[in-house]
Amino acid sequence: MLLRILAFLAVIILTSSLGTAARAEGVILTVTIGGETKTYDRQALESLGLETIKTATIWTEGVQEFQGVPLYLLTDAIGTETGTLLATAINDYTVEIPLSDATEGGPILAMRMNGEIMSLRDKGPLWVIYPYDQNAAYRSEVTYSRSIWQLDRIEVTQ
Amino acid sequence: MFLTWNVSREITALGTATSDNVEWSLSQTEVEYLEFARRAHLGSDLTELRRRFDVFYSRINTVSDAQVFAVLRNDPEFTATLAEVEDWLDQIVPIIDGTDVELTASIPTLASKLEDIRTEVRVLSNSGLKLFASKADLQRQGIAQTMFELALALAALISALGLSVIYLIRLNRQVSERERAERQTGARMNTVINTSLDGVIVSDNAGIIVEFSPAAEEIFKHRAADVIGRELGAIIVPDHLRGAHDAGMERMRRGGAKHVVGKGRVRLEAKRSDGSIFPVELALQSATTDDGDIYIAFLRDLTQQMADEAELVEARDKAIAGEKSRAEFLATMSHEIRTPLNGILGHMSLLRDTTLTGK
Repeated sequence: MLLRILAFLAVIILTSSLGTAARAEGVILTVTIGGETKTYDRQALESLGLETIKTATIWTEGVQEFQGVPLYLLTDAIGTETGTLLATAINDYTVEIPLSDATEGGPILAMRMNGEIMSLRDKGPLWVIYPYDQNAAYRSEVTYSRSIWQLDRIEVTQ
Repeated sequence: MFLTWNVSREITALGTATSDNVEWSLSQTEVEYLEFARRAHLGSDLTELRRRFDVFYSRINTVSDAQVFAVLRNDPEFTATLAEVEDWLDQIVPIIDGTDVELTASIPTLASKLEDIRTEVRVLSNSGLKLFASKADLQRQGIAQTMFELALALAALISALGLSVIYLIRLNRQVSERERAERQTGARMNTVINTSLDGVIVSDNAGIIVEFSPAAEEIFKHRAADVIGRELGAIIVPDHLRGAHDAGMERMRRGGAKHVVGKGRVRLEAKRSDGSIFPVELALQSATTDDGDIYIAFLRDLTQQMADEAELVEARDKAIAGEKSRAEFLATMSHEIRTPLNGILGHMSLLRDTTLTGK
């Protein structure tokens, strides 16, 4: 009995400490779908799977290494198959990203640039990065406009 | 060549955009500045204030780092303005990153400091307009120039094509005229051969019959359709001359001396379809064609002529013989008659020279 109480306490302490750690980092992405809201902290996003893209961008100098969650893994996790993603940045800049962009070899929600976590001052916490160098089709005005930085909200509309 | 490269370069340039909407991005600098300034004047929500500062900071960072603004950074005035704003940001960072208490205390300072760079931010926001407008103009001119060159090249190409068509039409006309002339020559030749009283046989280098005229059909009693494509020697050469014929053909094939060809009229024997042998007069010529040498034989049946000749000889011989027997008859007769006549003549002269007595 005592053992079970101890174990129970241990679990509570463990989860609450994890919880505080997560809260300390805070929610970095809020996803809204059909009135429901899901929130992701850094850890939750990373657990979806990470991918690295090495590419130059028109907003940086030279080739950079971006690491983040592929968009298609996020949409899989949300469980959406149709509709449009309305991605909004901290400064309320909003772009539409069609769900057809969420494919393998498509964009990622970059969290790190060259291994460093991107702060708000470096276009963080999330920056939608397409593999521009790998696919010429992504070197277009439309794609550039979808490459939203300081992203913190995604709304799925039908 | 150069033009092709130029066009493909222009198309690539249009196909992949190297700029975001640059002017818009620049004008956002001012928007973010004003948003930050508004928060600073409100001064209540520190989290939101810090956030707005970070967004503005990020925006300025982008302007100073991004490859799309590289053109702008070549402009010294732009760079100077940008440097002033960056200096200003560096002054503000410690205030923003300080504790909440310090930040709250600094808000009035912040508000007045914000006024210091209002003009600079405005300059940054608008600086893109002129530069990118003139750049777009240049690009448009470049494309127009390329299109014009392309049109010229196209016109040249079309005229070259037109000339080729005219040339081809002329060539075609020439060829069809030549063909018609050849057809006429051929028809004429055929008529000549078909109406020739002499038999005409054409064979190729291997001795295979390729033509057999109606007169030849008449002479040899063969039908042209039956013998064309067969070996000449087996058809018309009598068996006892086959050896010589084959040897002659073989010799000519090897480029040796031609004993009959081009030697005018030659009398030989030939064979009819029923195997009978008859005399012919033959004139043989060779000609060189695309398919190798061919041999043309003109043949005349001498059966009738020979028979006529024999008859004549016989008649002449007969005449000569008659003449001879008549001469012999006369000689004999003159001799044989002379003797009795001499007796009579003697008696007659005695009667004349002597007088008759009574005795």
